[in-house]
Amino acid sequence: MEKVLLDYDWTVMAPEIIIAAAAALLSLADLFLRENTDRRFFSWFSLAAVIAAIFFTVSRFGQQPYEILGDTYRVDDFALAFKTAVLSGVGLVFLLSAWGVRQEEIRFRGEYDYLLLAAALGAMIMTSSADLITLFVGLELLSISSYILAGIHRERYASNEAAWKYVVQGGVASAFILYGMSFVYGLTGSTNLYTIQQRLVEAYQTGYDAFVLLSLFLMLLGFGFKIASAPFHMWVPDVYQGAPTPVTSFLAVVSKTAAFALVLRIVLVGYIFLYQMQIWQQVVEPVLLVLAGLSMVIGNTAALHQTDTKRLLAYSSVAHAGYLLVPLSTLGAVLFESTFYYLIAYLVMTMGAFTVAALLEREAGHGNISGFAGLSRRSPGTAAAMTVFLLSLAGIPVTAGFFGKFYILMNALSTQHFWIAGIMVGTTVISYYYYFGIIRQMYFRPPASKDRMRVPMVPALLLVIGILGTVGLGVVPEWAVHWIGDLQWMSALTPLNAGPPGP
Amino acid sequence: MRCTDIYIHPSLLGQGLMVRISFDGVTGMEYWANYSMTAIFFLLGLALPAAAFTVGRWLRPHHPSAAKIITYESGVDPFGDSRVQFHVRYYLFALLFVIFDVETVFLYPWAVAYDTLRQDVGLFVLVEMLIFVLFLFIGLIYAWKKKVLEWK
Amino acid sequence: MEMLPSWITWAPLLGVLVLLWIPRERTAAIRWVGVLATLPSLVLSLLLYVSFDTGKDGVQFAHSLHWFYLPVLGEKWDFQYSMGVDGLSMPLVAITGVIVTLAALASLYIRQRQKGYFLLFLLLEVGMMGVFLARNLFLFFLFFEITLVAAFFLIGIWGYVNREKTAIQFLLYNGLGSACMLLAFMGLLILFRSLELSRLHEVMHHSGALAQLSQSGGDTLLWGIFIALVIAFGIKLPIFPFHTWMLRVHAEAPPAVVMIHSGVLLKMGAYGLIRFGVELFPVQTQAAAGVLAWLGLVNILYGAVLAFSQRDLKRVLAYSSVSHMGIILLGIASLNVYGLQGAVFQSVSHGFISALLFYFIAALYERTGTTQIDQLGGLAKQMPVLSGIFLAGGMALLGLPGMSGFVSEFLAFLGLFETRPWVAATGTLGLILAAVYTLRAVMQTTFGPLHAGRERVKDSRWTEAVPMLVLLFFIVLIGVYPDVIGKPMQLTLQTIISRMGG
Repeated sequence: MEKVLLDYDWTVMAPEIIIAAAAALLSLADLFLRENTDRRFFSWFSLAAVIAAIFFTVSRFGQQPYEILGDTYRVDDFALAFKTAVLSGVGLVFLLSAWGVRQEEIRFRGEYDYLLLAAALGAMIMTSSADLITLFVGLELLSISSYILAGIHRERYASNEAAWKYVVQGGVASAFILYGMSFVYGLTGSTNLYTIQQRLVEAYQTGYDAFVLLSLFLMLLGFGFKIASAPFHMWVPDVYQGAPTPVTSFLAVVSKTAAFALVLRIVLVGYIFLYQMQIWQQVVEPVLLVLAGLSMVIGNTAALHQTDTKRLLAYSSVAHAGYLLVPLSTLGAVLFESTFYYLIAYLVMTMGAFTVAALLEREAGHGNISGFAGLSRRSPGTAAAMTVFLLSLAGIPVTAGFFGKFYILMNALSTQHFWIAGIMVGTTVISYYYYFGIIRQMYFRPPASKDRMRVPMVPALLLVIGILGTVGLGVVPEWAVHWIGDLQWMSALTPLNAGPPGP
Repeated sequence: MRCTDIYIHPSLLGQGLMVRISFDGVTGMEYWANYSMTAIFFLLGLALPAAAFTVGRWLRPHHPSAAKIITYESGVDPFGDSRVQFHVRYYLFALLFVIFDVETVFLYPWAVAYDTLRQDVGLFVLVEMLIFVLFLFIGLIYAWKKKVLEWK
Repeated sequence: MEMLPSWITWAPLLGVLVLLWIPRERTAAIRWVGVLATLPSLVLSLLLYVSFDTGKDGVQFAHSLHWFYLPVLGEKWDFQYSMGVDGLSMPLVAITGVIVTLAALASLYIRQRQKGYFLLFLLLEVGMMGVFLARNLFLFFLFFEITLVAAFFLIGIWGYVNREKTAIQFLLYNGLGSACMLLAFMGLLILFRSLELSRLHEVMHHSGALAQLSQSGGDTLLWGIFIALVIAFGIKLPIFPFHTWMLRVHAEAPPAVVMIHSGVLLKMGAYGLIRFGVELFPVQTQAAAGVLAWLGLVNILYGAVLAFSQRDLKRVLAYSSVSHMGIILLGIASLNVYGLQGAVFQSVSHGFISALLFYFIAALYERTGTTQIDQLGGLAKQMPVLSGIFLAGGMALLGLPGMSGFVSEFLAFLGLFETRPWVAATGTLGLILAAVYTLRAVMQTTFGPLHAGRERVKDSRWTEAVPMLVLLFFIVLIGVYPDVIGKPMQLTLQTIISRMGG
């Protein structure tokens, strides 16, 4: 008998429900509160909601996968892991906004918080659905909220520019994704990824091979935009620079993680049969690898002459998207594990770096790298923390970033893609130049003013979390690696009724 | 009924994974046949206005005068430029309209099928719609508090 | 006792912890803590040296702890924290201990930001000790990178005028080397599922395993790994086209750091070439020995000729380092026990000699504010002790019998004469040139008319003279009794060579 609504166990959706309810509550509270009431507690409230959602997400680990309404909502280990990462990122962003976003600067403090929650909800849906429509709705919820968030500094010219560019280019990307999806639907008559999985093979074999590939590449074009890989990266520097710093960190960390969850799920579930037919190796893989290589080269070389911290980090984000594409394109031995590990590593180190960037932006009144000058004299702790994050971003041991790169390289080398491994380490060396450029400012240059820089509690807490994460994951990778290795990643690729994965 | 098995090489994707795939195939012509409807509608869409204008031209008498050839605007004398700027307030109304419009679009079929649905699913049908209405209601409150409802 | 290598490596961290508690204004305390913090490692490494059993082949004081597993395709790849010492690393550990302590003394010339300086200095020591004592490639790489980052800061903050450029050049060049090394190590990991040195040894010397590997087309991969390793350590050594960064570092880094850089860091290149090249890839090394020999020859002659025409004392020594590193390459390329011994001897001996000479330069710069040869001269009258030490160091550098330089060069060339007499014969030209440029430098600084305005230059204080004399003592000790370092490495090198034949 077909399952109807009440037959499902809706409690599995607890995290999403919490976030949605919190967003709704906050929007109401914002409306009924007096205009001049301090809305900073919104961030704390949202943080509490996020923590509750994390709790419910984590408590589902180890249970059987579950789906609701024909896979439109689906919890498996893949979804849970990525959702945990997304929520942790959102939590850190809220922590940063609790301190970093002031009502005097942003008139819409209330909107800021619940839009962030809405974006988080979108990201969560992107991680845990196996239906094209739901996935796309999640993607749009995330994107549209981010467009507004990028422009929420309404008085600032740069913020407006960021929002505008983001909307236009994001809209184009969404259109491409939809176009690709429509081909998929046309070929298979379904939006359920597992049905698609079955029918695409047939479509491919019955003479629609060009359409199958066309649908894939159209979607990849849009995805390339969302994960900020070259050559679809033109928006990244402007948006990162113009958006308020907490929003930028959200875009860098949460959007990227969610987008990768989406890409992995759609591409691997829908198109993995191409591997069996050798088409993946001949067509898809080279394309993806070229994207990855381009991202690394463009991201790392363009970052060389940036003078704005956030812009520099934007190009570094492009480069990291390139690294992250390697496991997917090579389908290496530790595809899921390394991608996920790298995303966590990227989360902690980038959040740390953006926290410092936000601190200095407030201190110096501008986002130029010269604001870092002499930081080691003014605040040795902050300088040391930033050094750790930069070393990690540059992939130097003993940090999470190094181990992440190590892990990703294993994919490339185990599948004998030496040239991409070469590009990866080569561009990593190039990246030393600009990452250490900031270190040079902090340690080698004299400070602009002699007085010590005060670091308030909240950012200090963020820095501590960042350092613990970055160094902890690097020195004792087993904590994370073990946990990641034990997850049933394959459950994402198989429909629920197919039984457990074969031997 | 055809059946294809895909074995993904165990060394490449972690645990050995086997996806068994079986389905009814879509054959080549059938695929294009699905699009024939679209093509027909497209052609009809082009043909219909063309036909209407042409046939109308044949049927109607043709005695133009100055009063007759001015632009038709609901029986009122036309004035001003054809390009008119609307006040931005109207857009807010348009957006507001969406709330109620969407609500109706969903509520109507739901109300018609309510009895049948309730037999199948139970009271959850009502709860579900209430959740939906609640969210739209929040939208309305938003509009109200943001002073969209006031004409200033 | 078994844990000795770990103690040696991590002991400087004790000093780091203490230093963190001292406020940065208390410079005197910081200096003394900084110097004292190097002592535990020194004492322990001497203890290690004394208790090292020279009659035993293989790794001693080995210990390993489980570090982490990497789950790959249902297998668990084990990464261990393993440390240990064998005949090859023993002498290098010992000189690292000695040179670091002496360099810490020489760091008393550092005038600003002493706290940060000594923190990084001690971190650098951790890295260097770790590099020589690690028995796992992953661990080795970590330590290697620690030295890279620590040295970057030391050069960039406390160097001379062009310090920033130098630091970044140092970083990029060595980063490139590290990148090659990382790729090579990962290749090994993919092939053999382990980065444990002992495990790799087993496989790389197991003819069955190798045959199987070459059947499945692994030969090219092995060659790729080998070449990457040679490039990685070639940059560090440095081999001729990759040497420009090292000249700059010699000229721009603070003298105490140059002592370490020239005395120990460059030797990491030699160590890596022997450890990972000769020991791990005997077949490939044999095939590439000719190329290595020629590269060595180029290094020797190029370095020597250019050293001859430099006006800056630091640059003379920098080019002479290039030349002397060529001798190490020749020793390695000879592929027999003598040659390898010569290479290790040269590493140790040149470590001491260059440390001594740069100590002298530090003292000289302190007094005269320049290292330009034409602005010096006649200093023997003003500072007889320092000049005497310089002269002695110079003699050691040019390979005077009875000093360490002679033994090492003799052994290296002896080895090479057996296999490639022509290359060796040409290489000896470098020795003649060495005498020329060294004597020229020594003469023009210490003898001749005194340069104007240098009348008030004072001779050394005992805090300077004692460390220099200690270095000189070791140089002479190795020269007259080579067994101090020859004995520990004898068996290890013999094993390496015998495996190569078989």
